This record gives sequence, structure tokens and C-alpha cells, in this order.
Amino acid sequence: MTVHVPERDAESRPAGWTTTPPPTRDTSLAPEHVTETVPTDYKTVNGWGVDVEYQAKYPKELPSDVFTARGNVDYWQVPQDKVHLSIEHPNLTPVFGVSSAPGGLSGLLRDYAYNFGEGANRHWLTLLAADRVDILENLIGDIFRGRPDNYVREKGWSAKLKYEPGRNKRMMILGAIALGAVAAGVALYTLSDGDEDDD
Amino acid sequence: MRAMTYRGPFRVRVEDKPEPEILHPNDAIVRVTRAAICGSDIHLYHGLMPDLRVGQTFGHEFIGIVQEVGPEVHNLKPGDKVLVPFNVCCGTCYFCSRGLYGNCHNTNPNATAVGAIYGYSHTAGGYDGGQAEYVRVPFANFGPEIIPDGISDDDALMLTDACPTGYHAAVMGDITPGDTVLIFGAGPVGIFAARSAWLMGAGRVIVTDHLDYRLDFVSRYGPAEVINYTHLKDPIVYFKKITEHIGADVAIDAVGCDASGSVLQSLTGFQLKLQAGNAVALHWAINSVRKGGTVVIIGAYGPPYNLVPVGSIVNKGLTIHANQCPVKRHLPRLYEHVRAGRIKPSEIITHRFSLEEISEGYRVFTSKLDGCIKPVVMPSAA
Repeated sequence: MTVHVPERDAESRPAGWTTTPPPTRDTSLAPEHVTETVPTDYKTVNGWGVDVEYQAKYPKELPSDVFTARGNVDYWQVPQDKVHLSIEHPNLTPVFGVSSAPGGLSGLLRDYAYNFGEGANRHWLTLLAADRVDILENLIGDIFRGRPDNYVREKGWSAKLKYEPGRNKRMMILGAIALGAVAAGVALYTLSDGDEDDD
Repeated sequence: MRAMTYRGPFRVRVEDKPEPEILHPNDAIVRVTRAAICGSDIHLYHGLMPDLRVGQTFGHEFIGIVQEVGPEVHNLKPGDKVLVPFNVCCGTCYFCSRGLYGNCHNTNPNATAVGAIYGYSHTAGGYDGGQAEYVRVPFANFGPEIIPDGISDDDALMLTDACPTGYHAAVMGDITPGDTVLIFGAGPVGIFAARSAWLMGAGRVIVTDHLDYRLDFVSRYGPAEVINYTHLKDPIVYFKKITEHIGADVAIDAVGCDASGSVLQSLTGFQLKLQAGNAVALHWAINSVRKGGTVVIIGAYGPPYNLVPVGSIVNKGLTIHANQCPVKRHLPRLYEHVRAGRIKPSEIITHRFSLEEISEGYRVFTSKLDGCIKPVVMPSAA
């Protein structure tokens, strides 16, 4: 934005100051800005202000006399499979999840990643790489286990067809046209090859 | 048992898994009666969280019936109907003893920077979640709560995460009476943050998103002023303009790393994976808040880092408040609000899916189909 210099008489010296404030920008709401659902007197909104005191008294931390990382622990879960442990922990935690034990190449990558602290990029980026390898390993492995991935079902495309039928029909028609064009091209190319052979 | 399992970005399926077992004397096994898909599950669904392994079951919002308890569990017994806060926490470590239940040090071996969360990757402890027929609940003497009288099952489900998290966002905002609160994101957490901001005494609550149907909902539920940022040439300039060119007193990022609204952030965060997702909501929050104001980060971000204007935080003298919600600390107060009708958590539920239909549930929620705000999953054994 450019601030224009006010016009002045060429004979007079320009004023160094004024008591008139410069024009202010428009502060009106955009036409799409909805306000009508909020009462004019906001203090009439249901429950207004009932937690002013609760919030003011909410301590970010409660007082405690525990000064060790673990506190008092009586029992420790025993690992049945490999558990990766952040090197920033003093020892294994008393409990841990057993969702998916590491294995294969992705497991080796995870082993490598957990050699580094949580501030190291190679820790996190190696884990992200391991996740992608893990997906490929399971994609192939599940074919041999007799339960191959069903992309249509797993991606929930039936919901897209149900709730966006028009858009998806257009996509299907465009896809069919594209596939048909590719098939026609391949067929023409094959036929023309055959013609040349015949010659 | 039947359980949802992760297969790769944008792919989940239901398959047979072994039922969970008691692995620690303080464990309980809960038969899930209701679970929900959370907005932060979408970050997992998109493959954005590191150490997310194929085969994991998601779901950190669930309620159910106690099926079995370990020998040291004395607060619960089989048959109790419980809500399970999303934080897996011991209640006794350095951090839990200070009320930081979202930062428990005794439940996540894989990371110290992240508390343990049910069904939220091995970076969050490697626990299977509640989008299944059964789930293992560690430290059952401390975490789960018997659902009290006057709280419906649907309300209880929303009190495991979405509602307390939105409420915690408002608490962290240190709102003083008359403050202007600007909320980025009209998903479940943003909706509850808007409702809660009034309870803290806000004078003006403004919510922005790119989805009109969600803005329409929060405009009535909050209530709140709403504006679709896609109509704005420069959202930050607009938010300054409508706050007397000062900025909002409090800005809440209720979106997290799955935002939209910046080509550069999407390219570097999603396509190139050079940062942990798209941080445009946080970027806008920092720039829209007034000097000396407070920015609350309640949307989920994964490691390792994001592109945000740190210089503006310094130069504007901002206070940043951020944490996972310590659900149990807010539950007593939230029960009062629900009973008094000040918050009606279950009103945000728009869809129900059987567990077998969960891939459709994720698609509907992720693609924002059919006016979806909050989908609930009903396991077949419920």
C-alpha cells in the first residue's frame, strides 16, 4: 500500500504534523462472515463465564514429592518379542504395547533408528523409511499367506461411490475412456507391426 | 477377535487377531462397546506418524465393559462399564504425579517426548487401540473410570478425548473475560474448544475452516462467528482487520499436521515429507494472534519438525501453550457441565459404522463425505 502525500499550496511549507489522524482501513466483516448465531450480549451465551475461576485456579502442574523418573513401580511387564527402547529412557518401561513386533528388513531399519536419540533426524527419518518397507513386506507376505490386500475394500471406495456418485461416475467414465484409448493404441501398434512382418 | 488393522496410507481392513491378554498385574481387558474415529487417527491413516507398523489397531476413543482384570486391579471388576481416557498413564511417575497424564514416563518405551496413546503407532507406545472387540488397558487402577450416573454411553465416548481435548485447549488459552478467541479448525476438537471458550469467559469466539457444513454446525453449537478462509484473500490480514488491527487475544490451532491452505506446506509436508505434515494452521495462529497473546497448539503434530515462524513468536512476545490433554483432570468438571446441559458432547456424532465397515468409516471421515463430523464404530461383540 502506498501512502499518498496530501496536496498542498506550493507557496507554503509542508506541515510536519497534524492533529487529524490518517484515514484508517476498513474493519468491516466479509459478506461470508457469519455472526447472527452469537447473541449481541455475549454474556447470555449458555454457561458463559462459569469456568473463569476454574481456569484461573487450574495449575499446569500439581505439587509432587516424586523426584525419580519412574516413581514407585512394583511390577514390570516381561518382553515376549523384541521391544525397541528410546536411548533417552533409563531402562525399559514397566508396561509397553505389543501390537506389532518388528521383523524383516523394516525391523533392521528400526533397530538402526533406535540407536539414535529423539533429537536426531536419522532416528525419525529412518523410522519413516522403515514404515514404507514394512508396507511392501506385508503386501508381498500377505499374498503368500493367502489374504492379499483388497485395495478397493481397504480404501473404502464404496463410500466414495455411495456419497459422491456423480463425481465418481465421471472418474470411472474418464478412466474407461483412457483405458480404451490405451488398449486401442496397443492394438493398432500390434497390427501395424504385423503388417510390416507380412511385407 | 475382529479388529481394524492398518495396512498402509489410506488403507485399513478388519481381520482376525488374537484376543489381548493380561500382561501385567495392573492390566484389564475391556470388551469395547463403542469406539470413535478421531481426527488425529487421520494423521495415522495418512501414514504421517513415524514407527507406524502394519497390523496395528487404531482407536484411542472407546468405552466398554470390563471383561477381566489382573490380580492387582482393585478399583474395577468384571462387568463394570468404563470410559477409558486416551492417555495410557500410570498415575505415579514423575510426570503423572504432577498431573501431566498425557506425558506419562512409564508407558511408552519407544519415545520420551511422546506419552503413550492407545492405537497410535509405536512412537506412542505400540498399544493396540479400541477399534476392535477387545482391548488391553494397562494401569487399570488409574486410567479407566466407571461411567457415572447421568452420563450416556455416547457422551461418555466423547469424554474419552474429543470433548476434554477441546476443553483443555480453552483452559490452556488462559482466557480472561472479554477475550477474543480465534480457533483454526471446525472439527470435533475445534467445536468443543469453541463451546468451552465461552465457559472461560470469552467475549468473542471466531472459528475458521474450509468446510461450510462444519462451520454451519459450530456457528450454532458454539455458538461462534464463522468464516470460511477460502473466501479470504489473506486470512491473517483479515483476522487482524476484524480485531481492530490488534489480533486475537488467544489463537487455538485445532487442526494439527493435516491442514490444508498452503501449497508450499502441503508440498513439503505431504509429498516430500521434509516436515511433519502441513503446519499452516499453526503458522496462521502465530501470525493472527496479538502481540503478547497466547497460542494454543492442541492439534496433533508428529516428530521431527515443522516450518513455523519462530521469529514472530519471539518478536511478538507470544506465549505458547501445548500438550496432550490430561483427560482425567478435567473429567469431574466436565461431568458437571454435561449434567447441567452446558456441554452436550454426543450432539457432534453424525455417523455410525459397524466394525466390519470401518474402511468406509475412515473414507467418509477423511474425505468429509455426507456431512461427517464424528463417526462412531460399533464392534460386533458389543
